[in-house]
Amino acid sequence: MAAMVQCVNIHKQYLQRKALSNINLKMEAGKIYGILGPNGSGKTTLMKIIADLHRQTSGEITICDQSPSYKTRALVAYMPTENFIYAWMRVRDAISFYDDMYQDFDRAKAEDLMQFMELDMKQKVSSLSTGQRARLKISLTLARRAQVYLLDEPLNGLDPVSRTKIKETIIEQFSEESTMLISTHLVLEIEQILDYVFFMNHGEIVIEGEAEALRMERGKSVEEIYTEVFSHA
Amino acid sequence: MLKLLKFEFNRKRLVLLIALAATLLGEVLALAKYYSIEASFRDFTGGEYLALLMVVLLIGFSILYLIDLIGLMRQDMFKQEGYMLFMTPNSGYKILGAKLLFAFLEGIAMVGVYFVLLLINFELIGPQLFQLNLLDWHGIQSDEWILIVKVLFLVVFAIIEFALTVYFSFAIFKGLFNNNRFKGLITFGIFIGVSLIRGKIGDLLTQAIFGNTVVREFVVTTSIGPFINFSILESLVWILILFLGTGYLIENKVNL
Repeated sequence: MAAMVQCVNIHKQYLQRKALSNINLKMEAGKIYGILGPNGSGKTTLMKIIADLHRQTSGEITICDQSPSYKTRALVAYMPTENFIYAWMRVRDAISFYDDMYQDFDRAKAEDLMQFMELDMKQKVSSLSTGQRARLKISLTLARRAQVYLLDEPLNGLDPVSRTKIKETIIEQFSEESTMLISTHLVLEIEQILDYVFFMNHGEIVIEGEAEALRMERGKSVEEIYTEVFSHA
Repeated sequence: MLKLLKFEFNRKRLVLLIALAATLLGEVLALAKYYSIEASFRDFTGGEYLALLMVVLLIGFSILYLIDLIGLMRQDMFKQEGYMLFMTPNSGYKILGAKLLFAFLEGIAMVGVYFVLLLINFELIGPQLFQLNLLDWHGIQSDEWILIVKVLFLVVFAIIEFALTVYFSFAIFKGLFNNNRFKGLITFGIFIGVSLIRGKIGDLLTQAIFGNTVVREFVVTTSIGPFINFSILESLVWILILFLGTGYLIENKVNL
């Protein structure tokens, strides 16, 4: 199957430190990928490179056979871990912004998702709680009919109700024609929806494989493998 | 481009409305003071309030515009919220172009509001105090008109050049460093460096074209025309270089 995202020998070096080293990764349609690792392992940097917000120092990336550029941003729906929605906006302004900027944005779907997530259209982003902001971010991202979805720590700092809602939304909205990469260090919460996992540490992929195959091979859950790998790191 | 302009306008809508409301309130208060004074003293004593208002507005608008000009790009490049804009499928050149166009329109609107108030207030106090009517254009010669238009262009270009130098410095910083706690200081250093290089090249070109003596002397003579033409051309070239450079850096080098 043709890769929707392919990274070959990606290196990222900042002036003072190395962020990524020799990253090779391939993502195919219809699969949900997990990128697992502790804070500072390079997950966010890799996602930002794929989303064309950071530039790799060396190596090749293709997204649907194109090098990352403003054009590939039309194919990639990226949800940063940060609170990236302008605080001055109301929920409805954020929807209008996405509607204006992305051709693949489905406004009706976004409005349905807002209802499901119990978000008030008139509410200001600055007045939303952490959980509500996370729900707004994921709703906007998943309301796009993108080829590639990149979700950076979608469950971070959320209450159990918000986590459940977000997981349900991811499963419901995922389409077989697209691919999804989810970064997290909360493995237990997300492992049942992952088809393939990459374990990252110190900017390198240390283990990768089909989630089911890893479980069978090691006789452990992905979370137990995670604990085993990173407790020695 | 229109959608990006709409976004910039929506973002600044509240601040602009507050600024406009404060300006109009200031004008109403100054007029109230003016008319509260007995008619025979009004032009001299009351005129002070209107003149003071125009000076305060000039300084206020200039500071607000300067802060806004820098903040227009700084907020998106240095704050997390900037992802929302830079994630969109718009090229760096387009985003930059929209910001400059918005800044230009905002500047025109500010100058427009200021000029209308200036006309209203000058109409009240000008003829009596200075025997001058701002609306009387007939005394201005055609070559003076050309000079006025050229100087206006030069001012607009100088503002765009300044904004682009600031944005270029932001882009260089974000291309070299990811997040450094001395970002303000480093960016300011880059800005000073770029400005010095620009100034030096400009001096060398001016000397090469006009020679040392001419450059020093024509300022006080009437032969200022060729120098203004050259300055406009020089400004346009810098605007082009800085626009392409900043757009390229945003597109290819910047780490957000």
